[in-house]
Amino acid sequence: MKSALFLMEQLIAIFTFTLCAAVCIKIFTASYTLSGNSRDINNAIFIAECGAEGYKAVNGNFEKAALILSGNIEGADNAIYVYYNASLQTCKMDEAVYILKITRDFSQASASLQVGNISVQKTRGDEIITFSVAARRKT
Amino acid sequence: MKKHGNGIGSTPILLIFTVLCLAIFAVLSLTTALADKAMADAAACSVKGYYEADTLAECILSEILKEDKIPDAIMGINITANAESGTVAFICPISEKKCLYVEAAVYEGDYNILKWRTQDVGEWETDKGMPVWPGD
Repeated sequence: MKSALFLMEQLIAIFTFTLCAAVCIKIFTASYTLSGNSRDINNAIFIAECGAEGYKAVNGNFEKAALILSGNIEGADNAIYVYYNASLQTCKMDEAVYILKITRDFSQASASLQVGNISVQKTRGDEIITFSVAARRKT
Repeated sequence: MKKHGNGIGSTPILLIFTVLCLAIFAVLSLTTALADKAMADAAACSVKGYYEADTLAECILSEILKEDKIPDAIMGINITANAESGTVAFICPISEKKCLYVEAAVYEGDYNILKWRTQDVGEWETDKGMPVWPGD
């Protein structure tokens, strides 16, 4: 009788522990995912600010911007692509974790103004941050 | 002689302790992660707001160069012109609590930025509360 009671207690304990552990593991996983998202957003902000300030520093000159940002002008839309690894160092395309893309925005541009669209995305994912930046065109 | 050892009841105590530890660490990690995410979202919002205001300010200055006479408002932003010093000033909103103040000297077909700074819009509320024992 006592051994049966002990066995029952063990079974209930294991069942309860499994249930609680499953819930806790789910919470840990959610926290890990949230932390990853936060890290991506913070890195994307850093990369986007670098891109925006680089673009403004060369007065919206695309060739010069590509040069100072260590990127390339490529693609059908002639955009500047800069590839960053997890340590936020510029790298080759196949090692990239984040991609900075700068495209020209002709809708807002004028004779004295160059406007570019800055966007940062993960190599396997959606855009993290995107905004426009205007630079004074110098002749 | 009394028998000692793992009797009935020791397992639930160990179980409760383990589950409590797990639950506390899980909740702590989740609250930290949520706080970090909120902070990152706020930072992203702030950066986007700043560059939107920056772009708007550049567009306004570009429009001013096109006009012969400095208008009172461009793109819904009021322009304050000082004819004596030949300067223009305007404020672009960044968020509810911040704005970008721009002041520029306008020449013939060109301008020179004099001020380009973020300012707080919200009113400063002094915390007069003193959370200490008054001594009564």
